[in-house]
Amino acid sequence: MKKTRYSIFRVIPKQVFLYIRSMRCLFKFILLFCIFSLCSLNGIMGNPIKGKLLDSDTRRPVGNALIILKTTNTHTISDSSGIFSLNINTFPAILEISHVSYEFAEYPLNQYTSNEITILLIPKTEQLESLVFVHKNKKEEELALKKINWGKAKISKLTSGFGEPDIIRSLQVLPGIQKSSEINASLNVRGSGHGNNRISLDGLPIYNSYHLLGIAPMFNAEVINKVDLYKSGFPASKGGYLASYLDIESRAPSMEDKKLIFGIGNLSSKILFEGPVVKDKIGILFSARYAFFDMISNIYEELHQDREDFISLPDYQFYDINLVSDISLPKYFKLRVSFFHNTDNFAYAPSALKLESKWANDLLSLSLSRSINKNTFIRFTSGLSFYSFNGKYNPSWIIKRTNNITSFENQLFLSYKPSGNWSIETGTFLQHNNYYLNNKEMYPSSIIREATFTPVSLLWGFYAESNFRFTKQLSFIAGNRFNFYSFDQTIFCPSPRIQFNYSGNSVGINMSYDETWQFNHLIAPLGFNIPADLWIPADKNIPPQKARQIALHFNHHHSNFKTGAGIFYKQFKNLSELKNGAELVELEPAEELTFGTGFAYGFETSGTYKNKLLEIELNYTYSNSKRKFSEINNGQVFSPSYDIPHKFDAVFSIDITKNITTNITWFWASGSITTMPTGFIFIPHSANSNPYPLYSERNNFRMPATHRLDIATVFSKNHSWGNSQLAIGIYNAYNQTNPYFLFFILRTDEHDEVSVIPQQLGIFPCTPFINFKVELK
Amino acid sequence: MNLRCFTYIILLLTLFACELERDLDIPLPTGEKYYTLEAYLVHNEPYQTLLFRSNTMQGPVVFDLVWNASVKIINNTDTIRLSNIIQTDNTNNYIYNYYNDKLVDRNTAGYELSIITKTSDTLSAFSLSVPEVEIDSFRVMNNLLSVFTNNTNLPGSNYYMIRYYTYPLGENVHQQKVFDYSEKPEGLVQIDFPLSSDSIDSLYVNLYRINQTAFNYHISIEKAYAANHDPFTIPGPIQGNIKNGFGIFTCCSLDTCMIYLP
Repeated sequence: MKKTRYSIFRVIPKQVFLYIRSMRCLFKFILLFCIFSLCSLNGIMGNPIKGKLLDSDTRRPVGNALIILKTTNTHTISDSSGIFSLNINTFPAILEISHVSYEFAEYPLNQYTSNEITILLIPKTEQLESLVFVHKNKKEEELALKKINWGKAKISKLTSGFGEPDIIRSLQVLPGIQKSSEINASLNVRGSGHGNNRISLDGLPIYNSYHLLGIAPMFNAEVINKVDLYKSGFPASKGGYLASYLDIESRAPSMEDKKLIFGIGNLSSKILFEGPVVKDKIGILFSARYAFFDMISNIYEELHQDREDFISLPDYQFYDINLVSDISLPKYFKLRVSFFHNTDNFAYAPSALKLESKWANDLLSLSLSRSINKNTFIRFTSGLSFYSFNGKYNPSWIIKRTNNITSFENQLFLSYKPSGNWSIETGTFLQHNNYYLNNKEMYPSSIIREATFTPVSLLWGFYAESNFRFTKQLSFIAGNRFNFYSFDQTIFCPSPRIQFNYSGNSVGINMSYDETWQFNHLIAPLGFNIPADLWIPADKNIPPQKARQIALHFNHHHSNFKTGAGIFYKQFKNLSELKNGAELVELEPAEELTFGTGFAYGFETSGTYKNKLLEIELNYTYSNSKRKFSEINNGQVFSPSYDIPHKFDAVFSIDITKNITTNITWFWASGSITTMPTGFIFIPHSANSNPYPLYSERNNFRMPATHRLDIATVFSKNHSWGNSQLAIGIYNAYNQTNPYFLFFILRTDEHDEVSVIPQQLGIFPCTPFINFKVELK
Repeated sequence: MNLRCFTYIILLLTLFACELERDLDIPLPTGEKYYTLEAYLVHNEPYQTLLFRSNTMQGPVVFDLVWNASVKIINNTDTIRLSNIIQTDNTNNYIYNYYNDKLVDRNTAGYELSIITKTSDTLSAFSLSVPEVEIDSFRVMNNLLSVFTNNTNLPGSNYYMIRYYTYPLGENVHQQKVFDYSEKPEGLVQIDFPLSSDSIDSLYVNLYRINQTAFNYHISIEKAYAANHDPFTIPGPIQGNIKNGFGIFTCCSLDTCMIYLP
């Protein structure tokens, strides 16, 4: 029975098990400390005024609003359920409420009340369901990542990829974030690989964030409340990855009103329902999407199969489900249960080759939180995230690959503000990962070779961060994250970080230094990311990755103009690449990988202009990213595939009328890097009569520059029964076919002379799209 | 407007707009033309080699045979000069452009290659000899060819290459694959190779014993070829043993059998 009790840890060594037990003790201690401290503080502060902020139209809770007591400047922030608490000693008093997406509001309080007050906020625009980027500290965010501080309506307009808001593609237009190909949904932040980003939904990691190879948005914008992205100046609560932290939080379901949304578009259709299960106590939000790309491919094949140059399209299906439930518990505790599932099926058989693959993410997150008072907040998050990939590749025999990751993560977060100029964040974390990798090379009746790799890793530790404000303008943040990583031994990896902020009336300056560790590697043979990429944990033969980054940002705002600029320098250690000629079928990862160093530096700038009708945003990034591996290119420095020196994005948003908005986006970017042969040979004594490529150096060729113009117009209309929204647009308006792949053919001309012709494969030339959505009250 | 009708119109617009492939006007990577040599010294067969040059990405694609080079193969006791004569192997339609009808001696420990071209470029290589190979038995079952042979106790000599020719309806189909059995114990081993077609009348099987250098060469060219179309293979250089060029100079032993399928 004892074995059964600890079965999840049965495969890890005894000393690791002891660490887990000590972790549990530490965890208990911190929990008790927090509860004790909070109870004490609550007694000292007396009974605060408690209130709830609601959207005046939808009656949804409004989180992250700033509530200031006008007479004393005492302030607090509403939580995701719109709840806030503020200590008021003298009456009458006036509360000032401000939020980026709502009109400023004042609420008079003539006398003390023990009942919860309800304040309705009027939204600034009528597009209520779109995204908003909200940050932990608006003041800091303006300094470090000013351009991300968008309002809901603006984000919704900017990110209409094929008519649906797309979080990842929205982020790709930001300065400092590159994409390794036009379509791919990878985020290459400041010269790092996509695998160096932590992408999490409701606190749990999502290991593969692609639908339709990045063409369709992975996250349904209808269920997203906020998106936080950190490129530098990482809070101590963020760790375990090198480049960036993308936190996506699901929206709180309405506790009062029911709502039903239907949507249909080129790529997928969707349905969303939300409403109270128990009024003001339990709310639930359910959303599902289904893609019918297989219908498109079938129609295409029927239309084109008689053509000589016919190339079949792949069969592709995906669906995803979001389920979020918020539960109000006694003593102002809030419990959130969040479930996410997606499945993608892909099959392609252009000739004798046959490729079938299926991948899925499953995520279950539980989050218990409480705003004790205006100075103290506590949250405990726990959950499971599971990713599985199954692929079958059939050249002349069969290659099968299975790649599963199961993550069990726990985090305790506590923020406490001892005084007006000083705040503290601290907490603990524990991440237990099980990996299962299996590769088979087989004939239909027998296995030729098989390799199975089942490592287990454990990351645990604690963190603390202090934010001290010297003056109104000047503040200093210092933190450290103490990582303990266990495989068959335990290593200690501290992760210090500091920040200086200056925030004047119109000028802000931020300087930060971060050290980060990453305890797994994403093996991406293509250079850009696909679901078949492998996550490999660090162990005695695979060292953990490390990065150090120093960044300086400056921003200035004047009237309707905002400008910002920044520089960064990063150093990388223990990065991984596949060896020359590595084959992932032969899976002993350490034998196929080689490790080296890297660096990246760059300059980022952006500017915006905004008036009532027009909003213009211009972003430019210069960056240089290099790698050095002793076993690649004879130890010479080379560029990774995502080294994009220049990137320029322009976004125009025009409110033609109150209900019609047009968005125009254009980008230009240097081409990505790829490996090209420098010649080829015919080998008569080989199995193949085709030419064999001669490769000299890895990543020796830069692809042509890419650019594209997208135009979309959104028509909104309010009805007595709800509202509707129609988005019509053109993807790639001037039909620029950017290369997705390069390949070569041999062509014989009229003089019987054979020559090599490079060809490119583009994915979407000029493509119209439509998306229609109906929201029923 | 009817929503379904509207959706179909958009779908059709999307489909007709698709243009998947097109020529690309880009400067291709530049490279040199390299000498390439393939020489398999099979026991008890004549000395024959193929010497040619690789193609660059620019210019016309040609099979550029190298003429008038001085090609010598040296063993312990003898120097064999190969004449610049085109020879064709009728079994497999292979061609060679340097030839000597003297037979390769199975008892020689190793061979050296020395080439001086007309433009005074030099190429050289060395290969150790390998033990004899013998097909013990064979079978074809479920479209899978199994060949049984004996591993030796000599390190580095338990690499094999199977090359087979099929004759369905008079059409010659040729397949080959290399196998690493160096970690298998001495004694009988089974080598499996899937057949490319299930409508085979007869099968002519060549079993070669090759050395590790030849095995690595074949693996590297398979990978280089696969890297052009297989996203899961990383491009890598071709690993030959020719100094100042590409290709392979190797000793090997051969046994053959003919299989008639019911």
